[in-house]
Order: sequence, then structure tokens, then C-alpha cells
Amino acid sequence: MLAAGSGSRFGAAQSKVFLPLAGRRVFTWSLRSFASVRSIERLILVIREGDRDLAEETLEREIDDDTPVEIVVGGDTRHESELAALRYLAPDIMNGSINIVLLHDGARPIIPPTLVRSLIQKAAEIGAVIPGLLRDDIRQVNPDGTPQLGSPELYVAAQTPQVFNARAILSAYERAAHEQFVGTDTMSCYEHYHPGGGDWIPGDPRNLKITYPDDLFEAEKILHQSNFHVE
Amino acid sequence: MSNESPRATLLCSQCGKSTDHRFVYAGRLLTHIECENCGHVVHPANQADLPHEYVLDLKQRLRTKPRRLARRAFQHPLKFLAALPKAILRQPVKLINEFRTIRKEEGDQAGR
Repeated sequence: MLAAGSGSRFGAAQSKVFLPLAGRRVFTWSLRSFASVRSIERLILVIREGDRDLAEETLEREIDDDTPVEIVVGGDTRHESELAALRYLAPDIMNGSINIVLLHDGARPIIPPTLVRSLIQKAAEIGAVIPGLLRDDIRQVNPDGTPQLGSPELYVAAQTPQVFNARAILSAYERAAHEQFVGTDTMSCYEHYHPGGGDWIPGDPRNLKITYPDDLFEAEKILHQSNFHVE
Repeated sequence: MSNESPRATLLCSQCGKSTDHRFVYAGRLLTHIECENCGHVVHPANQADLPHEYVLDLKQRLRTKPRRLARRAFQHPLKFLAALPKAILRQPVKLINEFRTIRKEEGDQAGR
């Protein structure tokens, strides 16, 4: 789980993944969902070094003792944080004890375990999969900014967790580090080195990313409506 | 969790900038979010129900408090005992602040 995003453009604020949401911090809602999926054996939380005390205190209060969460310090960008997590897992990936890796944005608190199970199953079959929501309301624009005419293209709004064969995503990120390639998201880096190798399955509209203030109210409402237990 | 209003960066739907926002809670309920750049305030859609929602949430907090305390006591007994007196003394002030926040939200809503 990636929770190393910067807190503030101006200094004193905290990372949004540490905001309180319906009695817990934003990121522990999804951590608890992952912990409820039996096939997930290890949970890695990627943070900024400055958030370590808060992260440890939060995990102690909000995550059960029988769900150990390992903390890794990430980098300045999402890509660097992903690489740090993959390198941390590299020995176990190379010896075959980790087959599948899920990379999740800590700012997405509501992740149904059923979706996680479907993603793991699909990634085990084909190597790489993301959850997405079909969008038919997006148009490409010309270089001058005018919209292209004709039928709107179909696009998928990518969500997380993005799920990969562990060796394949590790090798993609190591090659990307060597060649200084940075993708727009995890799948784009994977596809750069494994063209056509990824797929998507329908995500969940509740799996929203906290971006605007309204998103936090929406997430709170969803959690209340589901009696704090999203399936 | 702290009683202070946390701040974090979100994208403001009013000024369109990625700016620091201040988050105001009453207990576990988020009562409003304010953009520190343009002052735009966002309230929950069901703001009129806030006092009722707060009471429901407070009841649930009280109901689950013994279990949460027991868990912490079991996890770290010494740390728990050392922090207990201060935590007990803090509760009245915490509740008064929460009631004040709810009252203020009601007043603000009536004034809009």
C-alpha cells in the first residue's frame, strides 16, 4: 500500500491517507480489507520517513495484532515508492515465495475484498490486471485543444489495486530504473516492458480516490451505509 | 485521535488548486472541510441530520469503548495504565468541544 504521498505543498499539513475517516485513518480501511483476503500473506505499507511514528501508532490502534504490517520508506514519487516496495520484496520474489504483488493507492479507502479476490485470480491467469470503470464521456482533443469529432472513444478509468505477476513487475521496475523510464501508473510501466500483457476487469464505483473534499464525505457515507463493512 | 483540526492537501473544487484544507470533526463525524486558499467550505449533503447522526455515532462509540479499551490494555498493559488517568481527564473537555462543534454547525447552517 502506497502511503508516501506528500502531505502539503506548504509545509505543516499531513498526508491525506492519515486523515480520520469514520473512526479510522483513511489508509487502514483498505488495509483491513486486504487483511481479510486469505491468499494475501504479507502487507507492506510504504510511507515517508517523517510519517513513521504516526504510521506505527495508527497500525497499533487500528489493525489487529494477528495482521502484521511491514513498513517500508518510499521515495519522492509514486514510481520510486513502488520500486522501494518491490526491492524490499525482491529476495522473496526471486526465491518464489511471493508469486503475485498488489499495488494499492492508500488514498482509496474502500476496496471490496471480493474485487481483490477477482483481481488476484485474474493476475494468476494472465500476469497483470487492473480494476477499471468504463468511461464513455471522455473525448480525445486535437493539439489545438478542440475535441475530436465522431464517436467518443471508450476509456477505462484505472483504479487500484493493480495486480501483477511478482517477477514480471519486479523486472519491469528494475529495467525502468536502469533506463530512467517512468510510467503514468504501475500498469503503464508493466506494459512498457510487457506490451499487450495486461488486462482489466470491472472495478467498483465505491473504490474512489480521495482527491476533492466531497470524496471524503462520500467515502464516509459509503462506510456508514455498509455498516462499516464493505464486501 | 487528536482533537485538533487536521490539515491536508486536496484539490479545491472552487479555486481549482491543490491546496491545504482544514478538516473539522465532531467525534468521528466530519462536519466540514475548508480550503485555506479561497475559504470555500464544503459540508456533508445531509448536514441537517448532523446532530442526530452525532448522537447515533456517540452511542456507538460508548458501546464499543469497553472493547477498544480492553484491546489496548491487553496489547500494552503498562503503556495503557500510564496513559489512562490523562485519557479519562480528557474526556469531558473532548465531549464539550464536540457539542460546541455541533452547535456551531447548526448555527452556521441556520445563518446560511
